[in-house]
Amino acid sequence: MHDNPRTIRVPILTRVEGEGALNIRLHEDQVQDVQLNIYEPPRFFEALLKGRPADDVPDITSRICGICPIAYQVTAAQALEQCFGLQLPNELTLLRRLIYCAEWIESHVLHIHLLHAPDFFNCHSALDLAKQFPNEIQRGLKLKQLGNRILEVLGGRAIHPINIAIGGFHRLPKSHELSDLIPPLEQGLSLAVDATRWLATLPFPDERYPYDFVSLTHPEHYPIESGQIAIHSHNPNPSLHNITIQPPISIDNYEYYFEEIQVPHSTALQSRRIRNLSDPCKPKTYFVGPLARLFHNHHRLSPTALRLFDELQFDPSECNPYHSILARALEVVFAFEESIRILKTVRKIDAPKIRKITQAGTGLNATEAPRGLIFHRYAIDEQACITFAKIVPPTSQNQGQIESDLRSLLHNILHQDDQQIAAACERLVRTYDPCISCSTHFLKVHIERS
Amino acid sequence: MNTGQRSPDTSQIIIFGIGSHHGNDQLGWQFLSDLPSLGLYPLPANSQIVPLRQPTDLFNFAIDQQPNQPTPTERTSFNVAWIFIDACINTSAPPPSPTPSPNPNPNPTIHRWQWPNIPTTASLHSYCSSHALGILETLRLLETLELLPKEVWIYGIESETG
Repeated sequence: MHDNPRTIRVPILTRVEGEGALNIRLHEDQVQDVQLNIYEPPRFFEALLKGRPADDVPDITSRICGICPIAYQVTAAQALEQCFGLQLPNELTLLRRLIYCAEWIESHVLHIHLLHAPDFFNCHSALDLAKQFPNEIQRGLKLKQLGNRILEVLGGRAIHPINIAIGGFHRLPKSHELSDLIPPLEQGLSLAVDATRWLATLPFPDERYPYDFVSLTHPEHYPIESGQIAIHSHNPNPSLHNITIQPPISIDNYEYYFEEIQVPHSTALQSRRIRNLSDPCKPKTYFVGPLARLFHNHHRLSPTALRLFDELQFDPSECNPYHSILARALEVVFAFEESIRILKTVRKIDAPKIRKITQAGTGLNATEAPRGLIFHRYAIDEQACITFAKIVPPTSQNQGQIESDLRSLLHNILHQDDQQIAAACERLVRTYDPCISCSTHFLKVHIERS
Repeated sequence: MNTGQRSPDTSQIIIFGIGSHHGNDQLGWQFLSDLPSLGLYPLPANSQIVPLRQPTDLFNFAIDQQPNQPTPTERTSFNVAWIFIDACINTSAPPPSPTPSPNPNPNPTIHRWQWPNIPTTASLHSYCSSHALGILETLRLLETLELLPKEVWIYGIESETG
C-alpha cells in the first residue's frame, strides 16, 4: 500500500478515437472519485442543423464520425423519413441494411486488430502485435478492405460515404457491381470465422460487472437498422437470478426511459436510465454495444455465426467487458453472411429513392451503430428545414458505465503500482471501443493518491 | 500469388497523393491532376497514380497489390517505388501570431525523405489522424507485414499559408 500522497499522470490514452482524460482520486485504500474527462471541444452538431434543409442532415451528421458515418446517415434519414411519412420499399431497406453491415465489418475489424487485440499480448501497438502475428494482422486488413469495398460500391466511397438520401439512395449501383461483391465476401466470411476462432483463444481477464444491457431487438432478424429497445438488468448479487426489468419498449419512448445530463468534468453529455422498475427514483448507468446486442439477440445470428457462437460456448450473460472483442468478431461473421444473403436476395430496383412531399413534421429513429444504440429526433417546418435536432451517440450512453466499471476494477487493483493501474484502466476503457469525437459532440489518466 | 507473367526486370512507379477537396489538404490530389502540366507525362510504363484520402487507405491498396507482389527472392530484381505526396506543416515555425496573417509561412519548403531514413526532426507524427495512424505508422505496419516495396519516398510540401 502507498502511505505517501501521490499523483500519477499518464499522458494520453491511446488506441481510442478522440481525446480525453481519466482522473482517478484515491484516498488511502478507497476509490474517492473516477471521472471520464472528455475535453475535446463540443461540436454543437444539433445547433448546426437548425435552419438547414432536411436533405442536408444525413451528410452533415455523417461528419460526426469517420468510423461510423453510416450509423449517423441511416438513423438521420430514417428519422426524417418518419417526418415525411415515407415508408421505404423492402429492396431499399435491404440495401440500407447491407451498407450498415459494411460499416460493422470495417469498424469492428479495425478495432479488433489495430486497437484492442494488442492489449491481450501486452503489446504497445498494432505494430508490435504485427511482429508476433503477421498473418493474423494481414487477415484483419483484408477483412477491413472487404467492408470498405461494399461501402465504395453502395456508398460512393469508403470514408464518409455520400449516397444515402432521405427516401433511399441518391443513385444505385449497377446490378453486376452488387453481384461481383459476392465471391470476395464469401472468402471474407471464411476469413472472419478463422479470425474469431483465433480471438477465442485470447487470455481474457475474469472481470464481471452487473450490467443493464440495452440494445435493439427485432422479432425477425438480428437488429441493425430497426427494432424495439430491450433492457435486461443483471442483479449485482450473483446468488440471485437475473431479473428482466421489462418487455421491449418502442423507440418512440426512448426519451421517457433515458435522459442526457451534463457533468462538470466532460464536454460530452452522459446518458442514464430513468424510471427503471427496480428503483424508479434512482437513475442507473447502462451498457450498449455488441455484448448487449448478442445478449438479447444471439439466437437471431446468421447460421454460421450462430454455429460459431455455440461452438465457442460464448456467454454474454457473464457480463465480462473483455469479451466484447469476441462479440465484435462474431458480429463480423454475421455481417459478412448477412451481406451475402442480401446480395443474393435483392431484386431489381426501379428507382433509387421514393419521392417526398414537403411538409412540417417530427420524427425519430434508433439503430445499432457498431458501438451500440444511437438515437436521433428531428422536427421540420413547412419548408422542410430543421427546427429541432437531438442526437444521442453510443459513447455518451456508455460513459457512465465506463466510470462505474473503473470504480469496480480499481477496488481490485489498488495494491498495484500507479503505472499498472493506469494501464489496466486504459485496457478496460478500450473494451468499449469508445468514440470520443462522437460523444463530444480519450485519454490522459490522472491518478491522485492521498 | 506469382502469376509468372512478370519479367525479372519489370519496374513500376506508384505515385500516391494524400489529400482531400479542402484547403491546403488538397495539395496531394492537386499534384496528381497537375502531373501532365508539370511535364512529367507520360509516366513510365506500369506506373500508376493513386489518390488517397488518408494514409490507412494504403492498407486496401497494399492488400489489392499483394497477389502481384514479388516473392522475397524476386525483390532484388523487381524495382517498385512508391512515392507519396502530402501537404505538411512546418512544426519549427514560430507560433501563430494573434493577428491573422495571410502569409504565416513566408519560406515554404519541399521536404524529401527516403524510407526508412526519416529524420526525427521531420516530425511526421504530427500529421497523424485522430486514429493515430499517420503515414509513418501505416508504412511501419506494412513494412512489418512485408508489404512495402524496395523504395519508398515521401515528399512533404509546405504551404505559404501554414
